[in-house]
Amino acid sequence: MRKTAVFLILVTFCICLSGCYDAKEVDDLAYVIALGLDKGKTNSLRITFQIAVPKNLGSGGSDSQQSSGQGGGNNSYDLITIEAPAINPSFDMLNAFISRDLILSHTKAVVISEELAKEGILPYVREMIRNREFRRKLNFLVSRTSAEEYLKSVKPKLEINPAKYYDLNDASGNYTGTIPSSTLLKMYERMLCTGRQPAAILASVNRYGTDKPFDTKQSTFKNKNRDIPFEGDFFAGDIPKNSELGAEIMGTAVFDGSRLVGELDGETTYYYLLGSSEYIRAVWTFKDPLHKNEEVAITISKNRKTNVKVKIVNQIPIINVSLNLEGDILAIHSGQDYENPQRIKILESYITEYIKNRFTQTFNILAKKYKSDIFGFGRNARLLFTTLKDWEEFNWKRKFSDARLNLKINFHIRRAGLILKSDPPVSSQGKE
Amino acid sequence: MKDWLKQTLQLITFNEPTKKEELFVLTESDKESTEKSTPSSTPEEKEKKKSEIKKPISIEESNKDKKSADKNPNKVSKTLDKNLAFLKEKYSADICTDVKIREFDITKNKNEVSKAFIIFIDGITDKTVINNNILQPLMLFTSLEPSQNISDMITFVERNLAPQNQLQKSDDFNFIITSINMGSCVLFIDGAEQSIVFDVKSWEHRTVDKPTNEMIVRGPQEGFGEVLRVNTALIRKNLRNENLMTESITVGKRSNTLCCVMYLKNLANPSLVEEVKRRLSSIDIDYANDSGIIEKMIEDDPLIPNPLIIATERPDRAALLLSEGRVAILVDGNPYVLIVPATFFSLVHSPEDNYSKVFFVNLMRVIRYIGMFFGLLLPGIYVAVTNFHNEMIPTDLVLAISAAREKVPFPSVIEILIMEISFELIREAGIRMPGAIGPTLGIIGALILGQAAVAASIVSPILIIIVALTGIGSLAIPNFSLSFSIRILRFVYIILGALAGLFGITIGFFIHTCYLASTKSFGVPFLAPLAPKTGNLFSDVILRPPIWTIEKRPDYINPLDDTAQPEKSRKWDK
Repeated sequence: MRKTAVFLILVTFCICLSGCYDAKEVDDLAYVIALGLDKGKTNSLRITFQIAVPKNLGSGGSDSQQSSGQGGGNNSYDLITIEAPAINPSFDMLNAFISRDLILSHTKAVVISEELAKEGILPYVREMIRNREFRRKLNFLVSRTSAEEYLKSVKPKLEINPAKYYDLNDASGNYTGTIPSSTLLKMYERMLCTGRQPAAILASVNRYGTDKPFDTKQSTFKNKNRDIPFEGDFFAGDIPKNSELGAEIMGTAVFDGSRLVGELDGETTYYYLLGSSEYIRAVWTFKDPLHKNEEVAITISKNRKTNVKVKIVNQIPIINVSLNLEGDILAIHSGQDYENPQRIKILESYITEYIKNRFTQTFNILAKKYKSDIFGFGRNARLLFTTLKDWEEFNWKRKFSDARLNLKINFHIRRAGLILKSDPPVSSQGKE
Repeated sequence: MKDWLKQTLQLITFNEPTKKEELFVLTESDKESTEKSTPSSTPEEKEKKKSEIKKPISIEESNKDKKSADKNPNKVSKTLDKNLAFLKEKYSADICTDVKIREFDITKNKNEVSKAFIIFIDGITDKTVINNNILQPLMLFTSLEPSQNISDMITFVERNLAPQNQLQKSDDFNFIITSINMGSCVLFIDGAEQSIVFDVKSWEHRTVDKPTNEMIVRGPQEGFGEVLRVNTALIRKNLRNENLMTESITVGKRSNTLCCVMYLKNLANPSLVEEVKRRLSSIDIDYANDSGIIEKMIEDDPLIPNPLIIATERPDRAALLLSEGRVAILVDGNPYVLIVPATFFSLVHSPEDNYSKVFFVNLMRVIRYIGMFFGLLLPGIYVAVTNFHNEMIPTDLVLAISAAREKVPFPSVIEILIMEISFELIREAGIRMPGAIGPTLGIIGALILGQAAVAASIVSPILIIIVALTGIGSLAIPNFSLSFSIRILRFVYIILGALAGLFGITIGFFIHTCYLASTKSFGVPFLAPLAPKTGNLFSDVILRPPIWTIEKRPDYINPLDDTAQPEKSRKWDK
């Protein structure tokens, strides 16, 4: 009996001393939704925090609904910029005036400015990976403007909670194909990986604001022999739009190791995704092969995994890629009856040729200009080596600039939507 | 209770296997060899064994034994007045008003009459039967046609003058008094050394009614009542089989409660039946009028919150379990029938599972397990997750919880304890209060506790959902005792969750499961057939296959015949 009593007392003490030591109530925490990193003026980093204000996020009673209604949802978060030597010490500085302990488990996005990314991002990524609170799946963005400006321009109209905006917008690459998927863990892994280079989502603030007139100076369509820009012929920030929501994401930030070396526009990102097998589906615009000034829009989806085989001949990698794609016609502005089995061949061969050319061009830019294998072809090349030492001595990331591409595309148009035959309109003059 | 610490430590640490005598374990046995249960290891039970164990026998037999044992004082005397005086003294008949003694004469010959009297207790006997079938023939018909010489008056009455289907001759006052207490009418005749016990009992009781606590939609709607014979008859109605045995054992020194052990002679394992009878007959208790008391007296581990015996008020369920080879214990005056052995999974089954379509049943089963999970762990997990692991909650939800808790002054564990305790209060008050105040409780419960607590920012609205889900979840369990045990353990999990998060809950759940796995119900491991794994898990354990595929009876009960039906039971389906 005495033993039991002693044991009970000991257990109680243990629990009293150690139990609930790291318990934190949900409402005693400040939730960082997004983090922006810029080069500091007075210190090494200028960090912007986007912190959720839960009481304005609804479901807290009638007062909060009123306030969020008046403020248009923009007071659902608070933006704070601070200059600090590193990321983690900045939390303590922030707590000098923020009442609640910061928690980063719900951080959805990290935005790094182009300027900082060019100097190398590994120290910051490593710092975030080391901290257990950062989610490995948070979205990694590179902003062409400063990260602070980008975060300031995130004023979603559809969501009250900006966390949802990041979650949904940064996953839109699954159906637009104009942005890659890039997470904290992927960035970290690929920086250290011997066979693949990191690539991040390219973000920016739109140039046109709410009322400026549009121009096409920044569009990339001229380099692609077109007279008008197609939907992917922009970098983030250049899309002709007038909206209160200035933030936008389009294109890919290409890294070599830890440093930003170049950028791909939205359309070029298609080929990056196709080559790296991350492509799911996207809407493409093509010139009508039979009518010079008209366009054809097609949803192209991948019907089989991209097949990559690498050979090494005389220290030069030869990469054989075969793509299996299928398309659904969305729009034929010329009224040409491409649904016709004979005509469809014309469209198919035109598109196959087009994709082949553009893919090769993109590959050459990445290999020759940026020298960065963001496709991950190196992972297939690795199979050719028997030991890790051989592979590391081969130095894929350097040899990639000499690589040659053999592309095989198998493309078929399967469906034409709900219209089976494009008939010309009937006017008072009869059929046109 | 003092052993709980040792038990807990034993469960989680390594122990040298000690050589100890095993408690009763239900093992395979042949029809011929009826294993005697091995003696128990705990000191109390050893003592019980030492004190002579009564063989379970019917009342008559037990009284025969007594008759031979003690001679004169409890025997019927030849002199009527002696008997009368004895009984009057026993029952204090001049004070006690419901004991009736009616004296009269029986005409023997033309001139000769025999004095006689009957004794019965008013209220538990049938007056018309006494008037018409006992007094009328004895008083009237004898005088109408006085018969020839009668040597043995008792035999004559038994043969000719008692148009009554159940009677018994006895000269033993013990038996006579017990019979009178049970509602018999006893006839004494002057000069006879024996008396005649007429069974005229007519208890006031409920008629066979719908079961009140085990409701089902599809299936028979009658439940057990308070009368033992009606209850045995209800089982017999469902199980018309000559092998169905009903053995009687009296329990309780003062209450003299009659218990019946029912089983299928050619199915139930003889050692199981023997063990049930051994435990029942060795109960030494003053007053046991309820199956709840009997249950506590015979269950293996009374300090475990879970029930270890199935208590059902449905004859169809009892019959079904008997047909699996289990043993039922019926207690007189109680609508709950005890069925042993019970396993965890059999407590989650409902009789309706047998009557409905297989898809419906399995959906219900899954819902019940989800309900059990909610009832047991949801508040604990809520506290753990909000306090320790808030990265597990979706961002929108964590912000919503945070917003809702903005004005709440208490930590979430206090908040949830307030709500859980008030919910338990409503439940307890709902059972105890007089029926007429019912609507008041509804208003207090729903309005004041639910809405006003949120409006006053004492609790957050999300917490109300948690508490409501927990309450509904624990009510979805068909066995009331099991749901009760879950209600109690929920508080343990809340505290564990508040102290150490999911780690604490995991440790608690581990110890909980170890406890369950180490318990036995009448020699059958409580978690059988899952742990230890015996027989087919897919045969009506967690989920239920279609009825024609259940070919074997549960293996852990070790029935004498383990085949329930042939492989092809839908014989028309060629």
